Amino acid sequence: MTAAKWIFRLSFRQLVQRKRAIGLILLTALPGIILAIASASVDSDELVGLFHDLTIGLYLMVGLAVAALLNASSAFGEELRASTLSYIVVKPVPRWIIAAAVSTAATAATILLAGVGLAITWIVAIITIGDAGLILAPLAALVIEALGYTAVFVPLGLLFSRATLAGLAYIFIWEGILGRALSALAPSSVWITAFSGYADLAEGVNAETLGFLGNLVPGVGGALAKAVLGFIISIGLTTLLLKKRDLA
Amino acid sequence: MTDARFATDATVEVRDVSKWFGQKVAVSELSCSFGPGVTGLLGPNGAGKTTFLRMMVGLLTPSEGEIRLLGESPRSQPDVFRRVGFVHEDEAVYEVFTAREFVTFNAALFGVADPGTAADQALETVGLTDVANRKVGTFSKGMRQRAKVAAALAHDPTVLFLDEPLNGTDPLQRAHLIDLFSKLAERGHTVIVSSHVLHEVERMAGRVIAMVDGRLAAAGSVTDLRTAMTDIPRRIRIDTDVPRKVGAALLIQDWVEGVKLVDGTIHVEVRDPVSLGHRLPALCRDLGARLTRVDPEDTSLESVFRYLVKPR
Repeated sequence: MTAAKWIFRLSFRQLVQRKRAIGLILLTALPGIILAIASASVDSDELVGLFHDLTIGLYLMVGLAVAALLNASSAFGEELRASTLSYIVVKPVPRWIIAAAVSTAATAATILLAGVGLAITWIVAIITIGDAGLILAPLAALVIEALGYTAVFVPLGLLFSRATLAGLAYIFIWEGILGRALSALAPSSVWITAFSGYADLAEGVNAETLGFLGNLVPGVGGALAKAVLGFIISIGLTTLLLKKRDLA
Repeated sequence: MTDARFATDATVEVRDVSKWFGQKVAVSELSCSFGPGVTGLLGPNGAGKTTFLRMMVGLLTPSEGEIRLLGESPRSQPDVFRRVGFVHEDEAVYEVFTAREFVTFNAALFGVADPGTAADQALETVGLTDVANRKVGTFSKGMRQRAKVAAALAHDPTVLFLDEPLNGTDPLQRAHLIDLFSKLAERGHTVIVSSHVLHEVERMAGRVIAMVDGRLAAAGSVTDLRTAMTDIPRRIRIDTDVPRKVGAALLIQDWVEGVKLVDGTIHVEVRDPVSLGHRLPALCRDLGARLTRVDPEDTSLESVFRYLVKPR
């Protein structure tokens, strides 16, 4: 096994530890739980709209964003806090490999945990709405958003000891309030980028919600390309931080 | 005459290195070098030993000065770590790993061809074979220390940095680890061991670099340091039923440096506390005084080091 695989394996295992995994799965499964409860009193036509509202408003904007933040900011942040980073960096391993392996592990952990949460919502949607195809849009948005938030929060975890707090402020103030209120900021927002991929694949999203996109044209390919580019730039930045910053 | 700060055949060279964090100076203008054999990096807690070690392994960047590890800069040439091992001070280990996985992980990252076999050998060296499949998160402090040492030894490093490696170990484990470090030194490895416990360092290190307040306080053999320490006046506290009488008698003795009487307790300064131990009972017997307590007041390593760096 190469050094990259070992580092990936370590980071991934640390990020999907039982207690943490259960918490993040429950958080990201909330739309499914609410959908199941609501299905008793809402007719099936309205349930499609509710599914989209929940996956966009609760899954993409809150659950997935928080899960990605916790995984990405603690990928290096937890190593720094626990003083275990020396096991990785006092090694003959190029810094970019460390940055790439840890960032990939953080993305994979987010996709896995938030993916289980999404799968629960999907199963509820199949039972209550009867449309298995509803999964495609949120699945694409999950990958885009996991890549995007990992790109933002992995370097943040190396820079600040309170990266999680800074990240929450970023998600809820910058992206949640300013990103929605000022359409010029929409292209810089990770969740709106993910939503543009979602909107490209989903049918039945209400017009008011589509308004969050501002001038952004829905397109899953463009959104994914943007997220991948951000991810690669983030690996470069993280490499630079690993070379220049004090690591203890 | 050679400068005791510098080793012959140096593998680690430190030139005018300083490190500060904001306003706080952690290490100040250190110049020294390390070569084959065990060198003790000695100093009280807060002396800057850990910061110094972290700079030598590239975890921290010096604010000023230069460090060369096997001829390379540890910050810009990570390849140098193929020949370097580091055991940090903290207890931290990857709790998700078993001991075997933990050491194999380290061996693999060091680029060892067969990390599994190397891990098994290293675990055997530190006596952890029986618990190799247990999660390191369940280990005692001493066992964690040994797992960390095994992880640092798995690739047979030329230079080994050990930050307080004996912390938490029991006397048997301590003796085993000291023996292990000594054997590595005999094989020509450079072993740098930081400790605040003088007698631990004395048991394994032929050479000592002493630090106080981030500065180099003394360098040389353990014998040199011991000699320097015998020059220090020691403060002894004496309680007796007639303190004024005993204090006055002590004051005229030529082997006494100074006497103070504070709240009925005598504080005496002597250069040779052993001699005091021999002479004091006879003196008190002659005076008809009853001794109730005799205690050294400043035998801590910190006071010894502070004396060493005090301008004279």
